[in-house]
Order: sequence, then structure tokens, then C-alpha cells
Amino acid sequence: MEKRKSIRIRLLEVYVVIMLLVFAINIYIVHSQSQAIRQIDGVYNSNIQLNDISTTLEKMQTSLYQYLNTKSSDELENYYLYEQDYRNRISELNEKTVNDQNLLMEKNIRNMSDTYLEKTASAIEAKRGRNVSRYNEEYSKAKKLYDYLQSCVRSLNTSVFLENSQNYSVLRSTLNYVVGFSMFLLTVSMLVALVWIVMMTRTITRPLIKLAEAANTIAKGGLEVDFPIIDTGDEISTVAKACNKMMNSIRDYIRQTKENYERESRMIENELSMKNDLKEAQLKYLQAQINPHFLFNSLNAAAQLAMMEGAENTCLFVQNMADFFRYNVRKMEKDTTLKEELELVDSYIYILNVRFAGEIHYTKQIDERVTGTMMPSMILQPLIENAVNHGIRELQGEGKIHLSVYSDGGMVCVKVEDNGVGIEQEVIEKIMRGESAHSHSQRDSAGIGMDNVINRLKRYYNMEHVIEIRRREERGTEVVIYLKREDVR
Amino acid sequence: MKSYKENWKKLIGIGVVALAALLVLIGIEIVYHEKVKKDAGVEKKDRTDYQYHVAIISENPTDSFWKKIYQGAKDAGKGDQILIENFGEKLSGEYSTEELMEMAIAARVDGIIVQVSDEEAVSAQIDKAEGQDIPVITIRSDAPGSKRVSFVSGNDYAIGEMYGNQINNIAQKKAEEEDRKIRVTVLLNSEEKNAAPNVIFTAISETTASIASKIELTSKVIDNTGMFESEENVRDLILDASYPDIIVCMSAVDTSSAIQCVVDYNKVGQTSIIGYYAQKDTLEGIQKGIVESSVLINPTEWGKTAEQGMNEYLKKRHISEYLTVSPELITADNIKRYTE
Repeated sequence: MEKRKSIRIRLLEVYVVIMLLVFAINIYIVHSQSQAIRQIDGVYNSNIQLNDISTTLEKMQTSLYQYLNTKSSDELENYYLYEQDYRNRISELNEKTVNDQNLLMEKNIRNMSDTYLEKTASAIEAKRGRNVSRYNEEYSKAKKLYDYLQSCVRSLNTSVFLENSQNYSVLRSTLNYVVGFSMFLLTVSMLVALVWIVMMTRTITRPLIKLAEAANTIAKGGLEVDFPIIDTGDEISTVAKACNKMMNSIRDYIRQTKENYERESRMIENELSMKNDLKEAQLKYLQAQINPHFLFNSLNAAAQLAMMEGAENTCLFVQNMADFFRYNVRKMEKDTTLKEELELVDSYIYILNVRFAGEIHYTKQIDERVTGTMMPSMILQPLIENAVNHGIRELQGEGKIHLSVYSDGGMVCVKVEDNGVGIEQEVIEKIMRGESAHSHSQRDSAGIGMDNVINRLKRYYNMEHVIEIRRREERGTEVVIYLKREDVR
Repeated sequence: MKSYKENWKKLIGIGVVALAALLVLIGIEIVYHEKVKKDAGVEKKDRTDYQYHVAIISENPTDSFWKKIYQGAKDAGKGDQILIENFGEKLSGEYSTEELMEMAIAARVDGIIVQVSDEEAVSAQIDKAEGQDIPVITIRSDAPGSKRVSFVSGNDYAIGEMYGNQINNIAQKKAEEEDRKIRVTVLLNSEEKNAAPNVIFTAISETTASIASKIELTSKVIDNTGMFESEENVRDLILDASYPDIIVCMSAVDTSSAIQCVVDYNKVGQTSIIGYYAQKDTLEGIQKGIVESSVLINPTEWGKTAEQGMNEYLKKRHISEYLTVSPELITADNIKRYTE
């Protein structure tokens, strides 16, 4: 943008150019018309001149005759006046030998007039000298020349008149032509000017109109629309740029607000669903709560009874049962440690082994350093329950469950392996997607589905990668859950 | 956005082009206008100044033959700084030769070329002009008693010779065909005041002397004083038993009459015509073979010779008293030059 021209300057440019154009054309038209009129005016001048010559000549001749007739001094004075006048008029005539018939005639008239004036002068002189015969003679000569002169002037007048008439008609037609051409010129220039002005103003207003359209769209809610920036270098582009800046900051502000809102709502949602899951779990267990409390107290009583009776195995079994139910009653709402979860698993395995007569061969390999890791409660028991129910229950022969706890980087991994029937890949994918959790949970004795376990872990640690389910190569299933270590949380 | 700036520049460009187109239009108009005015003669014509102003005067300045003489003189005068004016041509009234001369003298021309009509009256004017140091040259008809400086005439002897040679050619041919003397009649013009016809006739006789034994040369004076005489006279001649084998005419009227009679009375081929001048029927006659040939003195030659004489006199104050103009012969061979 080499120059910044404001709209005012642009408009001024257009109007000044148009005005100059029209002005120039008008000047030209007026000039040519006045010229033509001047020419027409001048055409018959020569005729008027010749008429004057003829009239003066006539008056002079009359005065001469009167003077010669009466010797009146008045007439003589008149004669001299006319003579002077005549001489003046004659002196305007051509005196050169020129190849133009009219001019040549003028020369003849001029020379003949000189001859004539000589004759009249000598006639007057003779009259003064009272030389009758001489002034008679001179007068008759002068009279003859007078006739010739009048004839010549008349002829010249006619000839000049003819020429002038011809000129006049030509001039008339050229005047008509000039008028016609002027009209044509004016019309053309007006059309040109009109088209030009229209085009120019359109160029000026087009960005404005676009700006207005954009403003309209924005007013109707189309916040995505940008103001068109046409680099006209004038106020419009300045306005458009400013509006664009404004729109950008508005959009920024809206985006930020939206993000904040989204973040907030996501957090709320997260909390809600966590609570929801917890509620669900609680509900499941509340259903069973009456029984556990009653059962727990009853079992404690049963354990004492068994102890008193000396039935130690029974006492141990009942004791484990009591522990299992106590954990359920107590721990559901709170976080727990990995250690407590492991103890619950021990109790659960013991109960199962009593129930199924030691069919489950449970081994564990624990890294004691990480057993203090905090985690949500009721996570491991459902895994063991699944391993038993879906893995080794349908198995003929000895079922094996191996539980290992080890740390891997910032994670504490709890791996549950069984040598059961194994799990289908589709099922794994379904579980990972959280789809088929409910169908499983219906069959779970504790009622806690895999999706519940996974969701709770995810929310508790606020991470996605919390579980891995694999089909083992030899036989059975392998489930690993990842817990975040205290020190890295 | 470049397009906007380009648009703007384009628009400015269009404006400039339109402006230029209008200016060009105006320019064309001005040139055209000037041309129209020039063509119409409103603007001043090319005018040249001349050193001398010479009046050429005849009783009938608008006669076409006279105008040709004037034109010849005028054209010749251009190179010599002499402007020839056909005096009286533009005057509305009718004036006699002496009146026109009087005017020319009063108008103080530098010289006068005049065809004398009334010898006595014109002579007086010639003398008056001489008195005012205006040289006068007479043309075609003379005023021998006046103080004219020169007289331009046709070369009568040469004309006679031309006629004679033509007679020789035709007569010899006819004599061979017919075993008798060939009758030749020369029509003389009674109006001629000068000795010219006699000179011509003498020249004819002298030229045809070699075949004098074969021809019978007679002359007939045609009385042209009254009107319509010529045709009657020629008719009588043609209808005579011993009609002429060759008619020699010395005026345009006689030639026309002879042609008419020969055609009317079916004498084509029997009577040969040797005509005078190049009027339309004569030229047609030559083309059709009715007229053998025609003798003429070219009017432009008249004018040219007179102008040359005047030029010589104005510049050298000396001139021979008689100037002659050579005749030309029109035949079927060179007729194109005259018909065009």
C-alpha cells in the first residue's frame, strides 16, 4: 500500500475528473458555436461595404451635379464630405493584381474611382474658372465613369453576394453540424461519465457493502464470519481490521468460557459418576448388609461355640467367615490398603477351599514393601471370584490361583493368574469397553461387576490404564491391575 | 487484496482512455470542420500576386470560343507574372468593345488585348490607351490605322497551304477514279473585312499548281450578312448539275451547312468536304467519313500567342507588328485529341 487514499479523496478524484471533462467539452462547444456564428455574421459584411460605396458614390455624383448646376457652396461642401468618405471606403479595397476575380474587380473599381475623382476634380476646377465647355466635357466623362463604376460595383456586389450566399449556406450547415456534433459529444461524454461514476462509486462502496453483509451475518449469530478485509487503504479497511480484531477477542473469550465450563462440568460429572458407582456398590451390599451383620455376629458366636467344643477347624472356618463379612460391612465406604485387601482374599480363598474341599490351590508372592499402598476397597475379591467362577470352577482337576504383587516403576502391579478355561478375546474386549459387565455381575455372588471395579480404579487414580486381561499361553487367564504408588501420587 | 487496487487502476485507466477517445473525436471533428470550410471556400484560397494586369477584351466575353482564347492566354500568363482578366465577363450589363476598353483604361490596367469589332471606335480607344502608356495588341481582327503595338492573326498562308495539300490528296485519288477534271469549290466568306480569304485562296492556288491541269478550282462568296444564308447557298451548290467534288469551307457555319446538305442529298462519297474548326458535327463528320479533314487555329494558341506578345512588349518594350498563329489539321487519324 504505497498511498493511503481516503474515500473523500477518491470521490473527489472522480468528481473532479468528470467535471473537468464536461467543462472542457462545454468550452469547446461554446467556442466552436460562437466561432461559427461570428463567421456567419461576417459573411455579408462585404456586401454592406459595397452598398455603402455605391450609395456614397451616388450622393457624391448628385452633389457634383448640383454644384455644377447651381454653384451652391453647400453642395460643394457636401461633395467634399462625400468625396472624403468615398476615398476612405475605396482605400479598403484591394489594390493588388491577384488571381481572384472579385479582388481584381475591387482593384478595377479602385483605379476607376481614382480616374473618376480626377475627372470630377477637373470639372469643379473648370466650373470655378467658368470654363463652360470644359466642365461640360469633364462632367460627361465623369458621368460615364460614374455609370461604369456603379455597374462594376453592382456586378461585384452580385458576385460577392453569390459567393457569400454559398458561404452562408455552408456555414449554416456547418453550424448545424457543430450543434449536432456537440449534442453527440455531450451525450457520449455524459454516458461515459455516468458509467465511470457508477463503476467508481461501486468500487468504493463494494467493500462497505461486504462489511455490512458481514455485520448482518454476525448480528444473526454467525460468529465464525470474518469481516472481509479489502486492502483499499482507506477508512473501510481500517474499520474492517478493527472489527476483525474485536471479533477475534470475542471468539477467544467465548472459547475460554466454554472450556472452563466444560472442564467444570466434566469434573462434576466425574464426581457424580464416582458417587454413582459407589452408590451402586453400596446398594448391592446394603441388600446383603442385614445378613452380614446378623451373619457376622452369628458366626462369631459359632466360632466361640466351636472353640468351646474343641472343633478347631470349624472354629477357624467360622472365624474366616466372620472376618470376610466384617470386611464387607466395614470397608465398603472407605479406602483401604493393599494389605487389607490381600487379607480379605486370604479369608475368601479359605472359605472357598472349605466349601469346595480344597480344590483351589492358592499361592501368592507378595512384595511386602508395597502392601501399604492405598486403594479402593473390594477390588481384589471380585477378581478372585471371577477367576474361580469363570476359570477354575468349570475345570476338572486341581484349580490353581497365583497372586503376585510387585512394583513396576511408579506402579504397584497386582497380578491374578488362574489355570482355568481361559477367556475369549471378544470377552476381554467387551470387558475393556465396559459393555458386558452387568451380565457377569448378575452371576457374581458378591455382586460387584468388572466394570464397577475398573471404573472405580480409574477414578480413584485418575488414569486410564488400570487393568490388563490376558489369556495365558499355557492355560487360564491372567488379570493385572495397576495401582499408583503413594510416593508418586 | 490486489484485485481492489488493480480494479481501481483499471478504472482510472478506462477513464483516461475514454478521455483520450473524446479528445481524438474532437480533433477529428476540428480537422473535418476545417476541411469542410476549406472545401466550401470560406477560408482564404491560395492567392498569388501578379506583376502585370492585362485585360483581354471582346464584344462577347462569355462566348465559348472566346473563353478558350482567354484561357490559353491566362494559362500562358501564369509563368510570366501576367494576370489576364477576361474584362467584362463579370459585368451585369452589356457593353461594347470600346466601352469595355474605356473601363479598362480607367481601371489603369497594364495592357490590353482586344478583338476589334468596330474599327473606328476601337481605334480611338486604342490611341487613348497608347496615350496613357497602356500597350494594346489586337487579336484575330485588326485596327490597322490605330497605334496598336501588334496584331495576332492566323497564319493565312499556312492555312491556305494546308487546304491546298488536302485538295491535292483528294483530287489525285478522285482523278484516278474518274476520267475528268475534279471540281473544287472554295467557299469564301463575304463578311471578312480583311484580305485573309484572298491570301488563303492564293495559297490554295499556289499549292495546287502542280495538279492544276487535273482540277477546276473555283471560289464562291457566301453572303453571310443575313442570317441563315449559308445553308441556302451551300444547298444550291450541291444540287447543281456540276456539283463540286471537293468543297472547301472557311467558316464553322459553312462547314456545318455543307455536312448537312451532303447528308440530306445523299452526296456522301461524291462530294468531299474540307472543313473549318472543330465543332461537334464536324468532328462527328470526320469520324463517320463525311468530312475528309478540318483546319483550325486552336483558340488556346490564339490566347497563348497574344500573351507571349504582350509579355515581350511589357518587358522589352518591343514587339514585331504581326504575330501569327499556326493552323492545325484534324483528320481521322488525330481526331481523338479533339473529341476528348
